[in-house]
Amino acid sequence: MESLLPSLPALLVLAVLAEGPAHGYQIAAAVNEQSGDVLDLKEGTLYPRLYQLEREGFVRAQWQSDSGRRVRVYELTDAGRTRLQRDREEWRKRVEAADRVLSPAARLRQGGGIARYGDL
Amino acid sequence: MEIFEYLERATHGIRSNADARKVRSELYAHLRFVSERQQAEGMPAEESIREAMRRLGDPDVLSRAFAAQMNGVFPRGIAQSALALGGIVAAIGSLADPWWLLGLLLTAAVYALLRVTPEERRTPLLSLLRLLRRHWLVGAALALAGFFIGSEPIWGAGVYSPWPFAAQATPAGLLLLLFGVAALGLDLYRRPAAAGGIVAVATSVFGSVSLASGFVLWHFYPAAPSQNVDWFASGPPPYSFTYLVYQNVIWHPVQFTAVCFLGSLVIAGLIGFSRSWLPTFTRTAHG
Repeated sequence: MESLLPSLPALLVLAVLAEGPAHGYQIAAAVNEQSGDVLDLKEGTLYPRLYQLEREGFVRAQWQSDSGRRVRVYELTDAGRTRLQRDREEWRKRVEAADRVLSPAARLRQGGGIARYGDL
Repeated sequence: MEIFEYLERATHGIRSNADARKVRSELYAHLRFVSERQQAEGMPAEESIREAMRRLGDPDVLSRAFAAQMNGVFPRGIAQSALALGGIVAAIGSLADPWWLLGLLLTAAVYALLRVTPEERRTPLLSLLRLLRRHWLVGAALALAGFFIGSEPIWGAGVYSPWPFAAQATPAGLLLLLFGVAALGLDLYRRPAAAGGIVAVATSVFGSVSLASGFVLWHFYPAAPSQNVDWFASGPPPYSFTYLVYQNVIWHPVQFTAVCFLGSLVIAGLIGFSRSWLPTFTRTAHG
């Protein structure tokens, strides 16, 4: 069954990497910081996710040194940029649609509504 | 739990030792970053490490997540290696019979299909190069042996040859080579498919170099030392060119691949068995 929304963790990782190369810790910190600590990217799921994205060709990684420590720095590939753009648009479209369902005020503002038994 | 025990457990499910090392290094760096930030906020060093491990999560869950991501990768590598092997076989075969060019075209078509997928790493050539770069010793050893065997028209030219010792030493050399490959394959003991794959790739180099060097030497050798040197062109049936293609490029690689695959399975089984019967020792070793 098709997922209702694109994978949020993958989208967040790709969005952070669109701003420039980063290692795992920097990615997790950036998501927490930029979301005002609302979105807590689980560190344990971040690394398997990064390996999945690398395997699928959306990111590439190379070892570098940071503060005298060897870290794997990830960056977006062209395929990753394309996927980010696609998922971002899909995400916005679907969140707006979901919001219309979840929020009656928004639905009424847009002239929509559900015909109820009494209206018929 | 100590940090190294945590890392060991978090990567226990990864079959490839090289991949497990890579993940351990990455997780170690992550834990140190988190720990340092906690310490900067006033947390004692030991507690900060524990906090970093707690935030990273249950190592067994992490291990399963890594295993799910990383252990399924190699079958694709096998497919890519098989494709490359098929291309080499077809290319060599086309020297003898133009119909083999059809195989080469088919291989090129499959390669092109894989190449246009958005996933950049599904590139057979890149994958093959990475594989050979990582295990270049296996490839180099087998290519050298291939050259040795392929130059047989020169050194194996009968009783008048100046190389009788070399001729006699060949079976021993091959045996040593087989053991050498098995020893190098120990690094891959937890991945029988990987061990088989790398040997399949490397022995294709073996077969190609063998045929090419023999063929070139036969053509360019100034004076034939004996009747035996014509076995590449018009010798008795077992030494026809087609027979050599079959023997060197198909049968030897298949044999070597099977030996390494089965050897890795047996070694992996033995190590798994010994670990399950020596839990006390394992725990002690990790402190």
